[in-house]
Amino acid sequence: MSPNDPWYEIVGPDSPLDQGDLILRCPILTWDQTKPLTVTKAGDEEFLREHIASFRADVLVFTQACDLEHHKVRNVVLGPHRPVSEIRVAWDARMREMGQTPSAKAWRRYCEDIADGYVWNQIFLNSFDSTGLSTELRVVDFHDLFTVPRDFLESLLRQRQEARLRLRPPYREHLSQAFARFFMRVGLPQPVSPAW
Amino acid sequence: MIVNLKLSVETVKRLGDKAAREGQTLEGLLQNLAEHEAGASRNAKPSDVEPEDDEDRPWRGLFVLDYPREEIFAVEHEVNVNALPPLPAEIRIDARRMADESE
Repeated sequence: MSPNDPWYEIVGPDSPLDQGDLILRCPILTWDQTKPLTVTKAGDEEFLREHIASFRADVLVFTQACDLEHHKVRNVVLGPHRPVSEIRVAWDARMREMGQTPSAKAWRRYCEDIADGYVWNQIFLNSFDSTGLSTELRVVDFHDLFTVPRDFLESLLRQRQEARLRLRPPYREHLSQAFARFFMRVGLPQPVSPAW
Repeated sequence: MIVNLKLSVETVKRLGDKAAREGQTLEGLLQNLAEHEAGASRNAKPSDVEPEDDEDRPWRGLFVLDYPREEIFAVEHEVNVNALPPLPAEIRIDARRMADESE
């Protein structure tokens, strides 16, 4: 155990759901975007039935702690996160698609840009190492968000009977702020003229 | 920030001696110093960091990656579809009630 880890605390399966909880292999229900998503005929119910996708993802609870504590929400907002080693593989492939060389130096610069906040939709979660519970560095992606009913999620955690990691303040607020920056950003039709 | 300065003769001599002690060339030593300085500048305050060309960093801004997903119903897709609850009925207008209200 690492009770003094600045980033995380370990909470038991019966601990109430809270902002910053890391839930691994969480079942998600969403749209299947591997099929064409254009409605071509009347009857959107059938279209919807054909486009349901369900998968497991490592997620982090974005919903505000006070909303959860005071039972203000029925659904919980979740953001996916992946180990940085998996991100590296996806990044390598994307760089090649873009005609770029995925060198070690470029990867280092990419990670530095995430850490410095230049990549709006991504933020790091620190690594954690403890007996029975550890994770490498992870990357949260704000681009895809999911909602899951709170009752479902809490019953899943009770049924699993596994300890989980929880981001401590101010790291969870730092993540929340990064998400707010991503969500509230405004692009100008014409940027400032560089008269300098 | 890296600033290139013309080194004095004395500095060049001292750096040359240091390079010789460490078994490397003067150019190699200067290269190592430059890389060390670049690393230090990354840790500096944002206002001190010299901006680089964004063309070298195509991921800046919104950079979306496709990750592999562990599908749950990849094989049993029909089970998933059939498990859907029926959608609520559409809004219907009761003709008899409308007639009552118009009287």
